[in-house]
Amino acid sequence: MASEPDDAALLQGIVRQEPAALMALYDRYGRLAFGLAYRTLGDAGIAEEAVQDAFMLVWRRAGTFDPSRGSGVRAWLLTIVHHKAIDLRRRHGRATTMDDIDQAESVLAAPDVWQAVGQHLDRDRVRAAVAALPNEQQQAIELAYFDGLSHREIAERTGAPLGTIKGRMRLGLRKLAEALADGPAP
Amino acid sequence: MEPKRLDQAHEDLRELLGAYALGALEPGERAALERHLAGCPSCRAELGELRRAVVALPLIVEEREPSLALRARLEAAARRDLADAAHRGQPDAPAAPPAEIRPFPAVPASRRWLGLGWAAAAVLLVVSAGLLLWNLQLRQSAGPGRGVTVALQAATAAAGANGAVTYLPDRGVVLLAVHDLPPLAPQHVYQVWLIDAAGKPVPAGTFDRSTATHAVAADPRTDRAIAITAEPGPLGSPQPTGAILAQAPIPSA
Repeated sequence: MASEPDDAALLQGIVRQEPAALMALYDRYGRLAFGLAYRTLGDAGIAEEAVQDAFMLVWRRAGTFDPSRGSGVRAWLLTIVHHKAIDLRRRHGRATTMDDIDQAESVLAAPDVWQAVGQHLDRDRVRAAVAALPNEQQQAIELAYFDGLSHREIAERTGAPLGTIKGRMRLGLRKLAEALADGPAP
Repeated sequence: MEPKRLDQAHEDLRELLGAYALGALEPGERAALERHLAGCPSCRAELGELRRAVVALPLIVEEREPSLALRARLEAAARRDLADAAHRGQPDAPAAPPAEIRPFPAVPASRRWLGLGWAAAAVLLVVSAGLLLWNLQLRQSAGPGRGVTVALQAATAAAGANGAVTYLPDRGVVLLAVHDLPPLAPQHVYQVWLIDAAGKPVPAGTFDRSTATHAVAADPRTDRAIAITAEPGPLGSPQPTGAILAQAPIPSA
């Protein structure tokens, strides 16, 4: 599980408007945030814009985060990054040139330290669960989530009927939810 | 409609849940599904499950190193934002003309501070005098979604202190900016309290500079006032032991 007590403490620091707390959160999750934005946008410059906007939203709205929610600070942050990235993608489109080649050699995270081990464990668990999905379910989910396509657009792109696409998304997510259910929330 | 058709209609809506959780529905479909969800606990339950899966998806991407410049830009932006917000809270900052003066809801002093256990009669006198003569300057901060600011009232024990309290509604945060609090005794800190409608104080953080900005999550519906005392440090006290140095009502928007 993401290191929850530490994240909650960082968030409290952000609520108190301590820049050091925001930067500590950035140091902890900035690479994940940027990786997510980059996957969606394909352009480092715009991806950085998405990440900055997302962290500034956390800076301003930390007081509204409800700790009693199921998922923690990390999930909240990444949801914001995702929304920003999809929003920017809808406005700017997605870069499709040299950056796609770069993606194949994307920079991995810094070497594990004890604190990061727990986070990598659950990342591995989620990756395994997604990889275990039937390909077409995985594809439908990724096209929707990372590329921001509507189910209609996915049906067009894949040539599958609309109803089939909807079913793949729903079944795929249900399977994923079941696989993740035995264990801490990401 | 026949029961079979109703079931089919419901099933058709349920089929949209995955796409909805992924943000892949078009606006018209979204609206229709949301109307249905408002009245259907079983669909809401399924949606909750699907969302738990969606929230995990960001973890499957490779992490990627952004530029060092991004970190610097972010830090600069946060500091600038803080300076802007604090500046708006200063009594001497340029501001729009004063809005209507709203009197603080009149509550008898004794009932208000009941249960705080502050023995000093002098303190009670100061507090009640302050409440009765309370004259608020309400300045509407510039810009939409910004805060409403009230001046901080200093007790006679903190005669040189001044400052302001700003509630930022879209952040759910109260910003306290204070200048020239009386110096602390050794091993003491300033402690902030949120006071509810019954006069009960709740600890809301500490700081140790006599001129400082302090922010705390607050909700004007329950947190009616903010106060500062000096307490033994470094953690402060669970209930106030020192005299109130400064206080203000928390303005609601």
